[in-house]
Amino acid sequence: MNPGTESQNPRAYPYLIGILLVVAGIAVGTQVWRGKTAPAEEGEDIDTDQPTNWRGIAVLVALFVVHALLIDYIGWPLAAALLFGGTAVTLGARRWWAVVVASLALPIILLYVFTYGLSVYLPPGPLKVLMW
Amino acid sequence: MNSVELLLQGFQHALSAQNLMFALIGVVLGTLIGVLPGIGPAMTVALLLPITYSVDASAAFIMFAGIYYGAMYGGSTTSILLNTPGETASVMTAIEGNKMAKAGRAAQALATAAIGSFVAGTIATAALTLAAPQIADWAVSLTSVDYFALVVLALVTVSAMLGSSPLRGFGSLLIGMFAGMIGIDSLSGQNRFTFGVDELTTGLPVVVAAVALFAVGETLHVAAWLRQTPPKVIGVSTVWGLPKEDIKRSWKPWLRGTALGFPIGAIPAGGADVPTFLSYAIERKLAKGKAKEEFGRTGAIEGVAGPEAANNAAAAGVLVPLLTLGLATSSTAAVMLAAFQSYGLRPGPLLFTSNPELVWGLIASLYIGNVLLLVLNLPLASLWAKLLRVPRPFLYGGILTCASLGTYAVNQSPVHLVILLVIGVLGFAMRRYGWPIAPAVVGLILGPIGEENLRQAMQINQGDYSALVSTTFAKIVLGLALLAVVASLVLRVRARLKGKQTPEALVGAGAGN
Repeated sequence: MNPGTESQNPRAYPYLIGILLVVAGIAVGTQVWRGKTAPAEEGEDIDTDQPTNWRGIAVLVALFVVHALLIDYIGWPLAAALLFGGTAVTLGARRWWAVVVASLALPIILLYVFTYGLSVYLPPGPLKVLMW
Repeated sequence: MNSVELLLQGFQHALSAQNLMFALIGVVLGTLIGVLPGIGPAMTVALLLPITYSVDASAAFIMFAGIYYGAMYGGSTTSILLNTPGETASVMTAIEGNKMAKAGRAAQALATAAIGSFVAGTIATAALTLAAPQIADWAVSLTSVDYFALVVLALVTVSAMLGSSPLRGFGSLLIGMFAGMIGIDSLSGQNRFTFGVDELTTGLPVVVAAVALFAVGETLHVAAWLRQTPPKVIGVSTVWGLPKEDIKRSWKPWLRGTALGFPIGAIPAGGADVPTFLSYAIERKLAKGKAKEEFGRTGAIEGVAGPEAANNAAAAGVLVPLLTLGLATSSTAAVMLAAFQSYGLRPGPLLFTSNPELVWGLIASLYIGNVLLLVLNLPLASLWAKLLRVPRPFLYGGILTCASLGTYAVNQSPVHLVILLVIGVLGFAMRRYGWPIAPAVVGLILGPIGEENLRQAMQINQGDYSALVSTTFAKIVLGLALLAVVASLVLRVRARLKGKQTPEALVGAGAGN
């Protein structure tokens, strides 16, 4: 194999990036090992002084997986209502009627906008009865 | 035809009733989403991308121009009233702007930001009109060697940018470049890193990745540490304009900000952050008398006017390498570039000759969008301020729902939603452990461009690596990239020796790019 084909084949570039990734990984790992961590990204909705809500994150991830798997069976709007409502409750929404109204209204509005306004298909599921 | 004639044709195209409506929709949606806390311009553009899929390319890009500028305007409102910069380019606006708002001068801060954005946006768009065709003409002669050098410069400066850890910036960039390799290799037809998942053979969609990193990552990050106290939004009554005294104090910073923003945005290195930092530092240095007392205390209007103008001028500047070279230097530009690709368009020198109507329609609608934004924003400021109070559980529920919607509507596949979630978890981890997001997004889209040009260059030159520095242009560009790395390191060490992370030190570190 001459050097020409070597540098042109689909392996060369992944090797380059891979080596750099390993080097960068070791460098960051060493820094962290020596206690030099970087601060988390800040934001007005974020308060890093409190303990991390790992449970909340796990619930959101699970909700999203369930949402993705259910679309084929109950259509996008109902699966989205579950995702929206579940997220809102996980993040501390307490007025249950507001959660129910918002989680039904938003996906249905989006369904109409996308189907009729933008001609983008979304599977309506049982909400087919609301379509004309 | 010269560029003025082409621009007039563009206006003719953009001013048709239908296209004007698309521009208006784009501007309103861009501001509406951009003003929401936690959503920066890049996320706005990525979330709104699906709504353009059903219209033809030229209408879509007219809407896009509106979304792009609208998101910028919306972001400044959030910074001033809530002190929550959606992206690094608005950090400086938040410093003085939020202080002004707290001191009861929110209306003036919003007005100087809006009018300054208009002035800077218009001047910079005019500069874009004049410069872009010239650069496109010249760029036709660039070889793959030159392109590779340009990509290296863009990648190096994006990752060595501001932020607390350049090493993590570099790591983030590499993660993006790695993700960019997923899929079938275009030259050899080999599968790379697809792990047998059919959905990955066409590559990782940049928009899905951007939505995941920004929207899903941000939602998970917020879920981990949601602030339990209600947000401190500063209310504002309707803004009708700027008092004479404030105009007198603002117009010079506007122009200085524009002069900094456009050129720095236009070189394919660094994007929109550096000029805002520089503008802030300059205005602070130049401040005399009353303004000097206000800086850092009750908020000086110069410190809002300058950086906001710089930010918007840079936003127009970033479009120069995007349209003429097909290179993205900010995460927002990366998403725009992905949008072009989704229409099968390849931005670059040839775009000006192959799709003149589209390019000039886009540029013309930048002017139109700017006017619409000025007219819309000032009277509606109090309405935008109300949006900042939207209950956070619903806000983030909505963001997650829209992230799913955009991804599902385009691909109709649950597998893409799982990909979205996996990358979203990565985005959360990056936020939590201080890895900047923007380099990953830029690396994802520039990585493949870099590889393509590298392999072409190797093919032409029989695998001789020294060919990479064979042209004068490549030598200069790679030299600049090296200089950026060295200068960034030197300035960072000096800032550390000084011992404080003052805004000036950050500017110093940023100036190295």
